[in-house]
Amino acid sequence: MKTLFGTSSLQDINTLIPYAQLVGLDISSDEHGLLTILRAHDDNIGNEIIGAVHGGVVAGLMEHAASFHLLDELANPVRIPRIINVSIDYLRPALNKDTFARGQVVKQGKRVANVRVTAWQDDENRPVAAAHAHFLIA
Amino acid sequence: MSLSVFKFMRHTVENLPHCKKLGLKFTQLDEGVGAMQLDPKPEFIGNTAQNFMHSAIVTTLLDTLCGTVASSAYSEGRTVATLDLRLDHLDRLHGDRTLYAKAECFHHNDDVAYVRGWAWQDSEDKMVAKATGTFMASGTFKLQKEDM
Repeated sequence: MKTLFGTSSLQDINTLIPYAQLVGLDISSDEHGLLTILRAHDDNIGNEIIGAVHGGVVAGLMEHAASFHLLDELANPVRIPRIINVSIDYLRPALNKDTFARGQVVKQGKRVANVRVTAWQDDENRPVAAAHAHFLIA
Repeated sequence: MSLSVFKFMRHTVENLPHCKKLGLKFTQLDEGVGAMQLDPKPEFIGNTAQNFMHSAIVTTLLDTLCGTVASSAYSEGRTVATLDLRLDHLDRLHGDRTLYAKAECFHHNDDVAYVRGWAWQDSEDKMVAKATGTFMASGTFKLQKEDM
């Protein structure tokens, strides 16, 4: 990151991404590490009956979180990770409030990384979605 | 299923807040098949240096289309909940080109609908993404009198 993006922080990079601003994606951190946050936003609703966030926006959170958590863990990234595929399990409806996501790099090979992401709202032990994705990293 | 049900589904989905915000439009919806398109917007960009759209844009397009096609596969029209969605991101998404997508429900029973979808920009044989989604069928699609 340090070499690829100069002195920019992941937060700085995120604010320059138009899609992140469109849906309200923030990069933050807590005592356990990096946290990606999808802010509550009326324009993100995809189910008006229960007032749930659109599944595509939840998927966007998962993809965005996976790539940022990967960037955070890569010691010396040579390119912006490029997503190969992603598989998302929808576990509970994501209601119109802040949604948090945390990633874990399961395996980092020479060219490919496997990343898992979990997203939750009120309780980290009650996830709203879980995903795993592959990225090309070199 | 009557034509008005498909018309109602199209109208309902296109007017969901997030679909409206992006500008998602149906070009076709019939029993178990459908097509959509999405015109480019500067806000869709995920890579400003190379002007590529964020992968989440095509994911949202295919999630919306596959879910609606799952609903339309039931003769009575059912609401569905996404169980899972798998996306293969095959190519970069050019930031200045329209995205097109098609989907078909390849199997459904009383409980579950299985849908595949694909998206492209220049020509259908040059796919940018492929999706497979599994959907749980729940209630019937609520058709209001004025939409009949």
